[in-house]
Amino acid sequence: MSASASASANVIRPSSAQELSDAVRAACHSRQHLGSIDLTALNRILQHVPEDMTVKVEAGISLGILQRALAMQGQWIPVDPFTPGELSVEEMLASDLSGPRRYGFGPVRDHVIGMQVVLGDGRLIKSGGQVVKNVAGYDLMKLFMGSRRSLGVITEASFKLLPLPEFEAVFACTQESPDATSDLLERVHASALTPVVLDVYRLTPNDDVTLVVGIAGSREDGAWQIGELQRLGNFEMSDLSYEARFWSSVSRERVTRISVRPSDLMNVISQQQEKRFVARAGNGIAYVDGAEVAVKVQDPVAAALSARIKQTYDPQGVLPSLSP
Amino acid sequence: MDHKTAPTNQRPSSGPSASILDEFRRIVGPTHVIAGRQELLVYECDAYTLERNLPHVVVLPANTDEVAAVVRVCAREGLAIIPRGAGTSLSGTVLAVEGGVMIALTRMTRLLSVDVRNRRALVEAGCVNASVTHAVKSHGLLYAPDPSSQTACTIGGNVGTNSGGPHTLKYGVTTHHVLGYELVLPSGEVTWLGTTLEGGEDVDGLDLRGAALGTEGMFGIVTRVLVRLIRAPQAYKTLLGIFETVDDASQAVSDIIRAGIVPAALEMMDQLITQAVEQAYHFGFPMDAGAVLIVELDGLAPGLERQAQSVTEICRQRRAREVRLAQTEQQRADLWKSRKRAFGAIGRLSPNFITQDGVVPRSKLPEMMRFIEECSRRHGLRIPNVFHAGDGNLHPLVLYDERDPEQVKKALLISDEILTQCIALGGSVTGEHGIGTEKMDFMAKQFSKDDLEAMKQLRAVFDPQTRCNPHKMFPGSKKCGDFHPKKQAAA
Repeated sequence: MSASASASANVIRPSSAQELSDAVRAACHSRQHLGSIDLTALNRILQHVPEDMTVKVEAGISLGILQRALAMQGQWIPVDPFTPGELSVEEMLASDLSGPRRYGFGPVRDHVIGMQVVLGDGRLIKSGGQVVKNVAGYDLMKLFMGSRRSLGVITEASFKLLPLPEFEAVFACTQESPDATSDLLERVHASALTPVVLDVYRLTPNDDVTLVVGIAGSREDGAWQIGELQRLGNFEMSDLSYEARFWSSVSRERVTRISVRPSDLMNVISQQQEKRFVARAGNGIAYVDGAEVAVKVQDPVAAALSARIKQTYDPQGVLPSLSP
Repeated sequence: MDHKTAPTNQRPSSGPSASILDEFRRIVGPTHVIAGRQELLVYECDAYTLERNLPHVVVLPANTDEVAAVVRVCAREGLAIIPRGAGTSLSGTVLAVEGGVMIALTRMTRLLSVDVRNRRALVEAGCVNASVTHAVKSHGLLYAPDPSSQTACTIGGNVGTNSGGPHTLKYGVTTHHVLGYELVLPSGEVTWLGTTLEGGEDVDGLDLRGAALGTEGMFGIVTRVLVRLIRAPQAYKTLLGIFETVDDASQAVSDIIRAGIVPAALEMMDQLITQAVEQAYHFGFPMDAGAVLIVELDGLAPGLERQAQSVTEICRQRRAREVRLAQTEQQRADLWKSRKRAFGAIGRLSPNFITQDGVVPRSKLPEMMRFIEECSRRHGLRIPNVFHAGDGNLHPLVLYDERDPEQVKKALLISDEILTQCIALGGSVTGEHGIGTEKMDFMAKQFSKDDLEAMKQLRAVFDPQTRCNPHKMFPGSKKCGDFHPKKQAAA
């Protein structure tokens, strides 16, 4: 890496994507690391046509504010990452954040239809567009989601939207034996239910594991699913507040994401006996506080491709390095 | 499909030497190398037939090792590679523009394993799309992306083009249903992108799976695919709304979406298509309706009744003459069969057609349909429409006769006008068929120079010599030698 870290104390607060593009070009020219970039001034909703069920925003906008604006029209981006304070759309995309409803609605990348990005060499590019179905050109957007600004900084994003569910309810069941929880999870999974949340969690070390099932949709579907759920186990009415309680009680750096086949999840959790965690049981993803897991070795060909992509879009290394 | 009357161009002479052909024969077996001119004719084009050219040779490997071995020979010799599935592309995506070594995956058709608990299946790239759903049906599962060509097209081809289909309105396209895949790079190296057979869905590092998906065979050859399966819906309600005009039907589409209903599919067929389909398959479509809408609702049974009532009500408010509900699974299957075979019925209307695939924001659908109608009137060519209305994804079929040079010229002009209008309305020139050789020049209208350069740079990471499926996607790329509509039509 050729840039020096001396400029890292600087904070860049662009008021437009072009301004950020200029700042990145300047950093490239002087081969300096970029300081931290504060996108809070890029906070406008650029286009929301409710009939199209799409929205285009500047990426610095707070996700919470955006979702509230969309809710006025009965719509939402079906994502629900834990949002302390003002999590921005850009942070959500760059870190590929998601929440309990991911099981029902998919990861955030499934809802992005267009993007504007300032690359590490300062070029301002776009990928995708404003329509819900589009295969013109390569899907460069995928590279910037989850890559933590290592290739570029997302300055605009377009999403396809869904109508807010008419009905939603969350149920939980805590059992003493992990095997019993595992069995119940399998029964829910094999049933005709269509949960949008299928989580397990333990917020206090050595506590019992709680299984969470969330349902959403029409009132008629909801009533039917509640009846089915009661037949499967001893579920009680609950909510999703465990997610916020977990993330506000841990330090993020200590949390390890473990991603396995969904059928392996309860096994993985049983190996983390005394640890605190929340897990997307339906997806096979656990966030464990202080887990010790072996470092995975990336496929060498894929690793070489990734390094070349980094070199291509950030030739001077002014952006953060690729995350492992 | 179109009649083939265009002359086939001579392929360039600098193909692989006899000794290289022998090398291919040693790798895949002598019967799996096709180099004879007559046999090669099958591979001169895909379902986009306006441009044709012969590959130098077609090689049919049986497994990943054979694919990699063939690709390594090509790398050593600097030969162009054209990956090919079933050749159902409507955009000339697998056209051998300058000849080259076509690697067809049609012998690699196996479904290797199904993991019912985790709702995944591992298939070879040449596995036919519909056969996946067929194989997992008994477990109550299905593979969601359902292009109209699904009884022929391959999963590898679907990954190459990020294919859609009617049910992508609710379920999304191929990228949402492919967890990971094996890719043989143009260098001959083999890698696996995304989720592995025994791995979790979140993968560390860059999302190369997502970035290389839909790159139209320009990043390498997909050899095995781990697909996501979804549970088959508990119930369906499939409605047929019959309208006097396309305009009324388009407005109903907007109203259904705006009402917060997410149908599994929302398809429109206009009068010309409905008539052709009816004559071909005798489903019972009215011959005098201006347009019909197929609205499929799926999910849990209890909620569907009220949704179906809402859709019926909306259709009636938009002056639908009649709204029918499929009463049996057989009726539903017949309805979909008619819809998916619509392209096939076009032969009754015209010797040739160009299928366009533009997309507009959903609220612009009525405006866009009026534009197409106006184009048709102004140029005097008929343009039936059968398309994914709920997504705003159009499929106008421009009918022409290639023996009449004037018609060929007009058909191309109409395509150009329609796609230009899609861009002007904030849409895209392709929703699911891809750019291929057909729509390369539109890329410069939809994207800036920097956007295109960033794409080319990503391609160079995977294929520095641009040998893999060359002359596609980017404006200014070489066209086929025989792309001369006048000459073609005069033949």
